[in-house]
Amino acid sequence: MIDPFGPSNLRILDFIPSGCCVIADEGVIEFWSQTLELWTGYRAQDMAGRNLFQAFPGLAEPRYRDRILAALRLGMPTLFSSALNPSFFPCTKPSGRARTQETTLVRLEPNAQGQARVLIVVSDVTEQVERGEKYRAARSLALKEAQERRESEERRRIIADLSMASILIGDPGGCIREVNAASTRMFGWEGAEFEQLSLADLVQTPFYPRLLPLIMGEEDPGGEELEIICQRKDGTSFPAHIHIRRLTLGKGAQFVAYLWDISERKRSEEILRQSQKQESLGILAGGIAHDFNNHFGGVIGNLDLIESRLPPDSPIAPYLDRVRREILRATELSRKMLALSGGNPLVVSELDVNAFLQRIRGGLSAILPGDAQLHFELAAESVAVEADEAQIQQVILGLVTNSGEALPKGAGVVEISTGKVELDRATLASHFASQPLEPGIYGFIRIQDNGGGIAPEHLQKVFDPFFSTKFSGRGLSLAFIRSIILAHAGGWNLESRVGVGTTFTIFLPIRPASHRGNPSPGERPSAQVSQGLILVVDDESVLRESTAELLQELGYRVETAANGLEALEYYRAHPGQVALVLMDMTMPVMGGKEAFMAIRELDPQAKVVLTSGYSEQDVTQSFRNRELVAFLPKPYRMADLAKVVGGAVGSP
Amino acid sequence: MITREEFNDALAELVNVGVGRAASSLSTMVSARIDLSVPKVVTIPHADIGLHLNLEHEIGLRDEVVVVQQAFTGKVGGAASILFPVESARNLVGLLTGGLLSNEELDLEREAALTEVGNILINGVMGTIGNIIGVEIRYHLPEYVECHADELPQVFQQRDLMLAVVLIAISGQEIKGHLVLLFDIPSMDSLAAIIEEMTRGSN
Repeated sequence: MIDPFGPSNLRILDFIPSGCCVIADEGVIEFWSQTLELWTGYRAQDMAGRNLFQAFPGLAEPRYRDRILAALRLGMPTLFSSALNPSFFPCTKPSGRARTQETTLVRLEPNAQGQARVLIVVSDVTEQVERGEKYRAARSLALKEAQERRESEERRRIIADLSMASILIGDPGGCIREVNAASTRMFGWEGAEFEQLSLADLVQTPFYPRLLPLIMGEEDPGGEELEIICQRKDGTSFPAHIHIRRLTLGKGAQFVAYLWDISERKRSEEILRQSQKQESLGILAGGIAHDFNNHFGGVIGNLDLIESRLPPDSPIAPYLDRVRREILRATELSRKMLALSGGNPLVVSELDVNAFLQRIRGGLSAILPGDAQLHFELAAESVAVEADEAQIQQVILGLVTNSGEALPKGAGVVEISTGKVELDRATLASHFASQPLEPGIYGFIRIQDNGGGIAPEHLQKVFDPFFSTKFSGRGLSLAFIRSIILAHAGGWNLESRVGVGTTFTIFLPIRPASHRGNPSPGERPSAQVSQGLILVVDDESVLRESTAELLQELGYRVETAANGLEALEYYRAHPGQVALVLMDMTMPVMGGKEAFMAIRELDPQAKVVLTSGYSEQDVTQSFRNRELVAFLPKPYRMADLAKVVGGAVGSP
Repeated sequence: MITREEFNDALAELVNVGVGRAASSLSTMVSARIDLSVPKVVTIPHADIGLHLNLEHEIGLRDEVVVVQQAFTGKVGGAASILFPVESARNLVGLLTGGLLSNEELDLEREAALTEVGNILINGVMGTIGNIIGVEIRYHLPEYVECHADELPQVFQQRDLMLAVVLIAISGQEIKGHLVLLFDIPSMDSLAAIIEEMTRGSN
């Protein structure tokens, strides 16, 4: 067989674009191609017969030598890749860069001397490797940019998710494409479910048409925020503000809706509105009550005077007594109006609701019609709330009276139950929207009857002070009850169905364990007996004169003044003679407070009893307690007057 | 006639010697310590290759695979292959090139580097086997193949298979590779006869 790689045929290797070299025996070079001449600068005639490992000392390293010799001896084809061995025959390109090589060793037929031969083929892969490097660099840059885009997208997503507002991204048809975490919380749909929804599914029908031109880009939203009603997955609704912007990205247009729940804000506004309404009513009621009390004071004083001058067996006495009782009933109405105005101070202490109800059980049974039954379902555990016992008693009495009146023909069941309940923020928002309650544990008293119930159209009005479907003061009673509960920082819930019955639940704050135990009552300064006259100061002449006469009847010397200035002038003109000033608070020319200060200026030891048709709290809140001897609320009877004046200056 | 177990043991010994030489060559090349585990050898008739390739504990190849295959002819014909899971192949190139070629995708240079590593391992093993059994074998240039593990039976063609699982550890990091010796079906018998003769001669 003709050996194509016989010595005479090797020159054919000069015509291929790879560097070729044939070695024999222990590395003696037999052939060195023209390509290698060109690359290395070594001429073929110089290389022939040289030992490869001497000509290229790098190849004498074991990592090359062992494999080259193994190829020679065992005939194993051997590769040297550019990645692991870039320069088999170190040389440079015309540009000066190192020539990167891929080298293959294959065994040839033995030479004429029978020596094993190996053909070394060296391919120049410099350009290929550089292209790979450029590709890798470009790819690395692209990957880095893609990573930055992903991170930017992730940052955007996190920022969107941190937003308390719902952010909805959708197409001009209204279909939702992307949402943030707040949207899932706000609407109750899962993230993936939104993709099946349109903005129309989230906004109640009457409001959606207003949004259409904005999401379709037919109208510039500007900075406009719209108030709408949104709909949750469970069908419940909530008020919201929405702001829509159009985005044009690439070929597609999108809308971004920024939407926030304004339920809490609405609730606060409603509370404020209710509170302002209540305050106005309170001012009105307080003013009326004050005037009534002044007038009642004059009437009662004069009644007492008439009575004191009648013989004990006078036939007129029973009529006078009837008049007085009517006046006192009217006074009670006036007291309720003051409570409505927030004028009655609370004396709050720990109140064990269960024990309290047991104490007043007899009284409650007594106010129910004869055929009505009173049931108690009291909590097994103690329910200790913070409350003014007297006022809560009024509340319970009022509610049980109402229940009794609601029972058809006076027959039925009134049940009172108690317990504790936690009112969290969500419950407060859904069931106590217009009540300024704080989340926490509350004790409750529930009064339930199976009476006629309240018509739905009346249910929201029953708390208005002057609303009533019937006479007997019931209307004022529920407004009164609400005032008392509000003053306790408590809440209420009223449920009623016509023909089924009514349930009214009062919630009162649980008294913290650290506050348990009643505070000791404050010490009052003891009155000192002294000589002198009583100066009665009041602008209401009837009351002033009747009071003066009552005091004289009691044995005191009395002078009168029609306002604070007159009182001051008298006091100044008669130093050391006035034992006590009985002074009205609200007067023309100079009011009670100003006169009080001026008299105290003259005489720091001056004794002053204030009297007013307003409540004690209203009057005394601007005085330090020790400065006043006492407070006498109008209207007062002769006995009340004797007690207060006697306490201040002693009996005459 | 030698038993299958005796045949496997004898081949395992030959492969073991070859693997030792290959490790030495690789270590020299990369100037790092390279350990190759003692091969676990099984022989599998071609009909059962598919079945065995599905056994993860046998071969551990499920997804993309890099194969360097070097065919040989002569009295004993077949092909020697090195198989790497793609992940191992990437790690191996990264270690050998000091991280220069550690990008995710395999490219031409990595292909060349892996072919060279396969070439070293196969030469180490087959050179040793050829030398010991004293039979003239002609070797072809190594070929680089990337395929899915499911396609391996086609890559191995109609040959019986002797599988040696070798773990390659470079600088303490373990890289799993598999040495697969494939013999043309008649060659398996020739090899068995040669080994039987050698065994008898040594007794």
